[in-house]
Amino acid sequence: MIALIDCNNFYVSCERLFNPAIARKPVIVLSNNDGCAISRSEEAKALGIRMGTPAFMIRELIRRHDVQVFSSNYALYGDISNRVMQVIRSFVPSTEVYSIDEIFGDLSALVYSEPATLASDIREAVLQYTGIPVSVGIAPTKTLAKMANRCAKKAGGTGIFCATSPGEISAMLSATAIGDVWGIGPEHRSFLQQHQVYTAADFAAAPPAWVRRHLHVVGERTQQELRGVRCIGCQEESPRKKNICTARSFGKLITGRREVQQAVATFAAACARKMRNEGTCARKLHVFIQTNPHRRQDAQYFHSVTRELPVATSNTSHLVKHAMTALEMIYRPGFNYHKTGVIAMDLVPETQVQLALFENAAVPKDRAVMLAVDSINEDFGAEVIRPGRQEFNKKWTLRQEHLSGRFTTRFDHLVKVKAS
Amino acid sequence: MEPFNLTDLPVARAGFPSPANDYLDPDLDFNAYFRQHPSATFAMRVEGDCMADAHIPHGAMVIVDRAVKPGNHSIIIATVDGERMIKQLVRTAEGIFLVPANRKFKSIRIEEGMDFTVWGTVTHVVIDIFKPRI
Repeated sequence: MIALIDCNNFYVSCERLFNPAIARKPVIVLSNNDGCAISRSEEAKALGIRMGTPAFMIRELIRRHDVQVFSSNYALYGDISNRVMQVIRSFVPSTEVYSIDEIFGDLSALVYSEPATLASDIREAVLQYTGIPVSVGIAPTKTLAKMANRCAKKAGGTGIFCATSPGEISAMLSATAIGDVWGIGPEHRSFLQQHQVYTAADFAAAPPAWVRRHLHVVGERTQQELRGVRCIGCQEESPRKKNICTARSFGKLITGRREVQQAVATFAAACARKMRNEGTCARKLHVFIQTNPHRRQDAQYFHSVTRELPVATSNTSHLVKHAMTALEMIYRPGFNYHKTGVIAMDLVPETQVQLALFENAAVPKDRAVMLAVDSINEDFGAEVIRPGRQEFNKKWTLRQEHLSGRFTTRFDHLVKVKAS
Repeated sequence: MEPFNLTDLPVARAGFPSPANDYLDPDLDFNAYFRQHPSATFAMRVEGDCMADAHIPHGAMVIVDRAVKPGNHSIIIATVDGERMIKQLVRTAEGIFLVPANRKFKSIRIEEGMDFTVWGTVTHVVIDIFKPRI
């Protein structure tokens, strides 16, 4: 059997953990730049706030119902996520973290555990240790476990749904609309509905050859999974990331070369830091700039360039230098730029970096310098040490007007507990 | 012959190896000491004097373990009607009380209808006596 364990309204639950005053209030967490609602408490859902609703469209609703609004605080969510995953791993030896708030567990080795008991033990332990409520779906395949997890959430009661017997599975399939099946996108959904495939049960019963012809191998795999045949395995350790991307809209239009340079430099530095954290180096660097396609009145421009680096590196100053050269190749004055980004590509473990023929062997020294920079920046919080190009005015950095503290990762952000 | 710098020459280490080399212990692991259950351990900053007589002054950092079930007289982080507080948990025949460790403050009796939860159990107190942080 496969379990899918999913944190309920994860970002909201993280905020509530450290803020008991909002336990009963409607709460939403906004996406980067405070754009759209991406996590909602049950109370917020009941007010009709949908996933992805832009914040500016619900200002009146927020005011009237005292909705508590938060900017996304990934430092906090990431730390809580790690804790949740750790607790789950203590129950299930073979797991695959699927996203920040979802993890698959392969229960096949746990022959002596009864799925429903295991599910409730996991649920209780995660809540006790981390304060985060989770839902658990258990079924023979990943696709079915995803579906069972949906049912667990809907059931409202225990947060646990096991579809392990043929009867339970077929009841679940009949009750699930085809568009709610994991792996069936909107395009395939409308195609299937046109051919009288309305539920997961209809899809499971369709002739496999027909499915393969129209939905190709991915659709066929989904169908097999619905029939209880495991096709999607658990990837024990998520494979090392192939790319690291830092890209962002400016929050306002930017035209000047200097400002664009500052943004690109900062993003290159952010990629470098992420790579050092993961112990990787990039062999290629990709830089893009673009105008805002939604501003019809503006002349539009998009350009990107990929550069091979002479030596794979995670050194901030090298990456910033190459990013500047790349930007020089694509920057054109006179446009209202809206977004830019840097992608570090073709990542290799830093232990496998090969020196270029004519590169001097200063790499180990560079590395020591960068690690020192990282640790100073960590100690002092903001990026006190940064490349000269990197911004001073933070215009184009994230808009985070409702940001909570980094309660679990910074001594100067610890929550206060009243003793009076 | 190229000129060279004396400091570039390889160094041959002389002298005796330390007799302690074979007995080296790892450093004191404060992380392990303070976090019996790492995924359940959090830290908070105390604001106020109501626990002063329990060696928890204003400004102290408390280590809170959510995996430890509090016993009678444990010091806990509680939430009561949306407020987070640090108190001693006391269960008696008369009911559940949140008791301060300072005569200037009053106990709270948990009544029916109160929104009361135990957030976690306080396991350690850290006080910076050289450089107070608050």
